[in-house]
Amino acid sequence: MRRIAVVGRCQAAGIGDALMHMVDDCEVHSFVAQESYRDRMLPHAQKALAECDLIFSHYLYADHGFYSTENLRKEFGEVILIPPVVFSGFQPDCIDLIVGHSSHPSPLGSYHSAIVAAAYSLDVPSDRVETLFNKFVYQRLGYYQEFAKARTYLHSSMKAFGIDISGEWPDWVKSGVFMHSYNHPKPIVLASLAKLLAIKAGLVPADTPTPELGFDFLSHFPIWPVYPELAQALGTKGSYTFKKAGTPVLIEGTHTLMGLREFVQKSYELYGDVPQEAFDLPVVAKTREVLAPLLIGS
Amino acid sequence: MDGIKKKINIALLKLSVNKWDLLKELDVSNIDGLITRFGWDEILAAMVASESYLTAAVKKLYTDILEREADPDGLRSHIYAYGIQGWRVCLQGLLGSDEYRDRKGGKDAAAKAVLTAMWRDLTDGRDPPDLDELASLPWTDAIDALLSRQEVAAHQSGRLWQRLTGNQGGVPETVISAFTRAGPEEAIRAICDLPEFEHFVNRHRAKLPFVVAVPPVGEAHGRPAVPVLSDTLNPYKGRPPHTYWNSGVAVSGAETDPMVGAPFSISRTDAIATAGSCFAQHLSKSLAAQGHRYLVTEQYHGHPGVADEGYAVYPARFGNIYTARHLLQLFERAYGLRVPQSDYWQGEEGRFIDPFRPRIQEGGFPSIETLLEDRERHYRAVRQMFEQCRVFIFTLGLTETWISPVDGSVYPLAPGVVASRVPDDDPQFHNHSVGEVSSDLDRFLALFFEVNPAAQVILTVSPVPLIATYEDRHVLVSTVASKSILRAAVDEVCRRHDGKVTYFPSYEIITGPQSAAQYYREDLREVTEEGVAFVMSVFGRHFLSSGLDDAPIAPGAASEEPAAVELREEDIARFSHFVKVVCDEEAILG
Repeated sequence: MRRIAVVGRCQAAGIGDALMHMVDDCEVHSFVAQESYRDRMLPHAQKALAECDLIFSHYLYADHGFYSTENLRKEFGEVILIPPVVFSGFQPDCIDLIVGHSSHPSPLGSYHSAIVAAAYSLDVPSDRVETLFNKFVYQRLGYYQEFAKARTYLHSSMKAFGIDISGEWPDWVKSGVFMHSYNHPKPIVLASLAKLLAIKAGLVPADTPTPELGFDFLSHFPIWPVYPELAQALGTKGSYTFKKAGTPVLIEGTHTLMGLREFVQKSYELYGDVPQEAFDLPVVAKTREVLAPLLIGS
Repeated sequence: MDGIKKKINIALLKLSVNKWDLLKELDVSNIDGLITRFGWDEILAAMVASESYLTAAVKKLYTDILEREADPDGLRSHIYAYGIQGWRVCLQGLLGSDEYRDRKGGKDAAAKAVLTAMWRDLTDGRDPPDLDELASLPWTDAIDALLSRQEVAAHQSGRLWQRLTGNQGGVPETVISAFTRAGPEEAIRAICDLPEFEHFVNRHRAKLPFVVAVPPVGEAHGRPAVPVLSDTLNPYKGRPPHTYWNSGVAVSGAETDPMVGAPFSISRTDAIATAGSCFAQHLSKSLAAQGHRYLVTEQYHGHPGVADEGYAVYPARFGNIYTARHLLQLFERAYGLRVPQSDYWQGEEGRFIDPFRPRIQEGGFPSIETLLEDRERHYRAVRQMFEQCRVFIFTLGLTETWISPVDGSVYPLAPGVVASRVPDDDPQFHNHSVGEVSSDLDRFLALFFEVNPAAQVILTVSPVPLIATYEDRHVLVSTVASKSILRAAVDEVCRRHDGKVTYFPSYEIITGPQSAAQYYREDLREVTEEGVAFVMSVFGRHFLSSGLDDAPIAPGAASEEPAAVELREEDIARFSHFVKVVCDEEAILG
């Protein structure tokens, strides 16, 4: 039996799932090296990695301790690097507000809307913000160019890792919206990437088909909608329904979805505690510069 | 003598050669209109193309010279003379007739009258010298002698010189002597040999067909054909029939179709949206009735407090939009760019009126919340309209409006017309200028094309007069001022947005003198069904096609991926940042 370990960020779990689907007679251990549970999973990781034949990993910096790529290489030898998938073509309004090492929370974990953040910093009343979600504003903000830009970046960033996704790309596009958010791909993307990595590592033949994953680990996390006006231009359908992390608690009748109005209101409530530096980030400042001259009246 | 006359005719024909084809295509029944348009010389020269021309012209000569209707025999023989030998022979025949001589009091007097007429004809109306001596000569000798007179040669040479070089006066002696010696053809040859002619041709080469090739008359003498310029100095000559009042309007009367071509056509699958003053309602009804895809993005939804009124009159329930400023602000409000301070007016019985569409619902809304919720749905429908239409037709109706001094919001009605209380912002009367209207339209178009760059816009001006004016002047004066301002502004805007914005002249069709107010009802304000039908028939003729178009209606709908782009440094920095971001799953897993 072949033993494989996958270490990395949130995308690592999907890569591990795909490898399980493709590689015959194998055991795969996936470790998502997030800070809050790194220590708890350490004994399991140490044991699994020591026993495995092959390690795939995102490049993790020294601050990841045991899981850092340099440490894994030192302790276990070869590590095959996994390129991270980043694609903001479907959700160009989705940003983060990270100042230093602090990621300021939003109603959707750490994902923020550039429009909402800019509107807040312009003192636009919260009940007016919803009206700014329209094609004209997106046009002015350059959101309609984001898909092409993100595509260029994705292809070139993959190439930097020796991965050519040009053969996979048509299937991704055909599948519709293939990202939950700018850094959370849907299974088809992770399965494609895992296949290319497995071929590169000699685990499977070059003509191996992309496996279909029945489980979408990242769907448990926040999902940013593709706004309908943008979706139309991309040949798909969209919505303003935001999904929070987690799954519905059926007993309580709760759900994980919220509409644009609720998202804006909750963002405004949280922004009272967010320092000014967060609103001075370039992406917010640029959005503010575009919006400010457009707004007439209070 | 005959040789010289023939040469004159040939020269005249050459000079009018670029009208030749045009004249053959014209309606020859309107001889008076054509005479006004082209002048006698060219009409006469061109008339050989048509028997009906000849008949009408000979009849007119009979009326002018003999002051009676032509008898059948005389008509036939003069038509023959006219067609075969030219108009001057026909003219001479009538002027030299016994009848004319008797009427003028003897042969000499008649001959003198003929020679005087010819002199004036050849010198553009100058008074003749003493012609007694010539009048006593036989007819042919007299005319020969007349044509060889220095004054005639100098004047005719001057005309040719002007036409062929653009110069006024200063005719070289060689040209005049060539004319005296051998007539106009030789004078033309003499001019063509001079540098002034070459210079003139080079200067106007780009404006061909000023230079017209002519039959190689000169080849009979072993010389190259002579290029002849045609009416280079009169830019109106040779223009299409619709550019002349007589042929463009007088001939067709109330049936005049003033639309000249359309830069695009509308297929049955193209989504059409209309907005504007009440006349725009006629357009929307008619387009829908004809089976075209009239876009409706807001439909009755049955929400409590919302009445099933005013839907489908326009694509969204915005009611009449009389001014360009109102249209601009509708766009701004729908896209969240403008938030008015005055959200509602209060009507009778405590109900609430939307100030921007005060008459969409009789009596208004039962609560502010209902009003605002309905407005939110309405704005969504407005955005869909702007983004989904292939053609947007806007009819401008008024310049008079009511504006909030607080935030510049424009209202389609004075508050007092529908509201029971004066709103807090107390709107003030304002009458837009040409500059304001064109600026508002420009601004609207810039915004509109940002969300729908593939759309075409058609602008019209409502022919419906003001029902009342708030200016201290007569309503008729205000009406004409208002419509003139709108019409001028639209003209400016169409020039600036050539190819994307087209003017449709429904205003001219209804209000022009050719219709003699026949398309107005008894109140001289409302347009009759016949008027609307005629406007729509013109619209359909130029814009509507019966074909289907399979191209995507929604301009933004893209089945293909966007084209490749180059990344800028700021983009790369942004994406690189995303790569480093640690996602937030610990929120649930931690």
